[in-house]
Amino acid sequence: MRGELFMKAMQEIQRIVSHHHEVAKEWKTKTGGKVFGYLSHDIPEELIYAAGVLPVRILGSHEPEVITDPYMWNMMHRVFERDCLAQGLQGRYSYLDGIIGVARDPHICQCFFSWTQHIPIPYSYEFQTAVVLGGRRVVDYLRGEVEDFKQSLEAWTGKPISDKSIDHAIELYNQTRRLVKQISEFRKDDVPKITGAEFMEIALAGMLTDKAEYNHLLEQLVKDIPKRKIPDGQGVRVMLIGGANDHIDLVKAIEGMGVQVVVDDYSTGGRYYVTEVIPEADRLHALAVRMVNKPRSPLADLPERTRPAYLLNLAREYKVQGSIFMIQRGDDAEEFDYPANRKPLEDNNIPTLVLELDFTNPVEQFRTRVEAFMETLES
Amino acid sequence: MEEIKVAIKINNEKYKTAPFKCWPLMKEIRREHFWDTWNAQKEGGFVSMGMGLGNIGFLGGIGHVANPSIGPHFTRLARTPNAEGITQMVEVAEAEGFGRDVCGAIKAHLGQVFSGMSSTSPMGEHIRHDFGWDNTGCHAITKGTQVASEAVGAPLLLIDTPGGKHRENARKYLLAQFQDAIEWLEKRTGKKYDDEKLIEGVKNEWYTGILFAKCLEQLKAVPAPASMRDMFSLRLPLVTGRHKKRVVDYLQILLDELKDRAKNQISAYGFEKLRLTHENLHALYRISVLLSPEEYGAIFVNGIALDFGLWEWKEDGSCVSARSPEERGIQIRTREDALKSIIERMDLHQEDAVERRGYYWYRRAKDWNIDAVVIHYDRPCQQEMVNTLEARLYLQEKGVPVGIYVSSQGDPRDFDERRILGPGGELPTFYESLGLTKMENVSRSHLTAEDIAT
Repeated sequence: MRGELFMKAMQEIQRIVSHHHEVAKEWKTKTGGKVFGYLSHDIPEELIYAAGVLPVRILGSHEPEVITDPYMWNMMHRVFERDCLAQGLQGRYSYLDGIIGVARDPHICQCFFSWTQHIPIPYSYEFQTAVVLGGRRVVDYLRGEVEDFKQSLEAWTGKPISDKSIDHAIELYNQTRRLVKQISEFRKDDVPKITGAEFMEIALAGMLTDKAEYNHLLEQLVKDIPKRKIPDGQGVRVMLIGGANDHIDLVKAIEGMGVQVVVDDYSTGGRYYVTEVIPEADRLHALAVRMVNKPRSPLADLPERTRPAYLLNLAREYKVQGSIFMIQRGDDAEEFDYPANRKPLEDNNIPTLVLELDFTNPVEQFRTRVEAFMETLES
Repeated sequence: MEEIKVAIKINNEKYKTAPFKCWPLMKEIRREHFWDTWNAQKEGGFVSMGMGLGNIGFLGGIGHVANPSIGPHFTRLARTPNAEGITQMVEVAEAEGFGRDVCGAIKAHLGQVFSGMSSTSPMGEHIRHDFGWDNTGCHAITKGTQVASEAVGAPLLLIDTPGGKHRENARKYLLAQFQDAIEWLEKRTGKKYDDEKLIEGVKNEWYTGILFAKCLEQLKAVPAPASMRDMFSLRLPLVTGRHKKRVVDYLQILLDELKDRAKNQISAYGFEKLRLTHENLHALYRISVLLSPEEYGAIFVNGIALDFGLWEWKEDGSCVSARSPEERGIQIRTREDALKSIIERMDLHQEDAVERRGYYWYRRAKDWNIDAVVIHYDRPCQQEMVNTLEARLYLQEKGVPVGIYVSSQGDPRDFDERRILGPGGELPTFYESLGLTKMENVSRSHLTAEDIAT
């Protein structure tokens, strides 16, 4: 039946996203394996998988909280990381066997530090990433950090990570990236075959479950999406830009305002899937190369900028008519880059709007602003 | 305010005090630094764009490099009524699109860049910055330097500085970057990099860091021979010229004077009812907040703003002024020796890493005979606030009274005078909670009105 595979796969994807704790626990029960939570995508995730451990992205719940107040300052620390820590402090991640943080971003550092201080967890590791990604020596350095991480994982699991298992993880993750890319291509159509909220659900689900199972769902989607009938006239084509964002309801609300979200540049969205690992004999080097070649975060877009051109290119590929910067409260790295990133877009007649994200968001206020923005686009 | 768990003993003794003999020398060096920005190029040198001032000795190898840091006019702007000049600069940056969460000090810097002030001397002469330079210890400084360098059209040289105690991989990375940076500097400036000057600058950076740590050790004496406010000004030559022989000599003079004052019980300002530390950088446009305990007969003795010393941690958990490279068995004879010793020195700073912030602040309180700690919650300084709340909890657990106040080091709009210093304000109530009372007709420290203002 037309679209039946799509519906079934999407239902499972929605279950993974909305019940991700249960999904991870089910995986543990089924496989007897370990689960690690991670706080940033600037890690060689494939290595964790190759060690036989399921890596899952730690997410918030978008509920008001005060439990993090003694450790993270509500006037300053980024809401995403505060929300993540709140979940840990409330015991919602009690099934985790380990947590992986990333040095250099002060909000992630704080979340990681407070997590390891106040939440019992068997294994923790802070991955030392690089921020001057345009530097000549950065790949060699990251290769060394990947190797240190590998040794730490091996020491903890008590098992060496074989080349074969790394190859398997790389191929599995690359397959995921290829499949998500194929799905993303359907958003380039004049009438996109999936909505921005649906894509967000698909993207998030891939960070919360075993890629081997997830890839089967993606294959079903890829097969069935072309058959999908979407009514025309859904609204203005918009790109969403920001750091971590897992607020699906907000994207749904924005899409209910006469907007079609056709592409995004989130660390928890399309950006996660863009770059494949190019296999080579030195597997750790290959992982390091990907860390340098993937689209950069604002913090690491140094010394020369790549993001303005990258965003403009995305906008052109997806025939974007306007861009919305979704900047979390406290995210000064995004704020630092905003003037440089908006300029090429606006110079190319792609107007921009900024919405400041919080734990919970004022959807009605956003509606007024987005609708006013739409009017400027339509005029 | 925190409930005080330990008995505080008020020291009612009155001590003698005196102005610092080396204060005029500090001012002279500071003036030289200011004019250096406008004179360096005329004398065949260069002007850099950057704020972190990390490893400035390394730049010495390419010749004389002026480093105007947070902007050459920051102090002058801070002296305007209510620091309006700084506020204007912050607003210039905001008009360019830099949001409210961006570090205030960097917006004050960027405002000077965008308005052309950073390139214009008081005499109206214009300069063109030769290159941007920084390490990546603070992400806001790094991004700010990127923006500023772009704005003035200066090529940007960054040393990616991994956090934490450097493992071998990070050391190799740093060394390779410094070697590349030499090539980069030679290409950009057309000048040959001079290893002798590198060695001299690197050694001086060691010596000045050690001498300043020794100066701070003198403040353990009761009464302290200088207050934190005194030392904040007296450390300025170290901040901007710690790779220079002149500053080594200056710090030796300062150390001798502090030793003499400690020996003769010459205090910072005459009273020392309680000794406090001030943690996290204070408002740079409102330095007189560091004098606020004086009205209560107390003083700030030490704090994070003075963290320019080089220390070594001992097995018992205390820290002492670091040994020199020679004492550590490090020979600095070649370029590679010098570059490796930079990394060695950076490692000493990493010992004070944010993971240990609570313990570090606690040790400072213990070792400097401190009665209570004031912590500045700096609203837009995301780097400095890492583990600040955890450090506060740690101090409380150890029974150290902690007072907090909220403002911003670079944005005067965040400094609510009434809320922080007014009757019933955050700081006066904390001082009173410690058993202090406001003193009548208090004669403030020996600082001049101009010094107190900024």
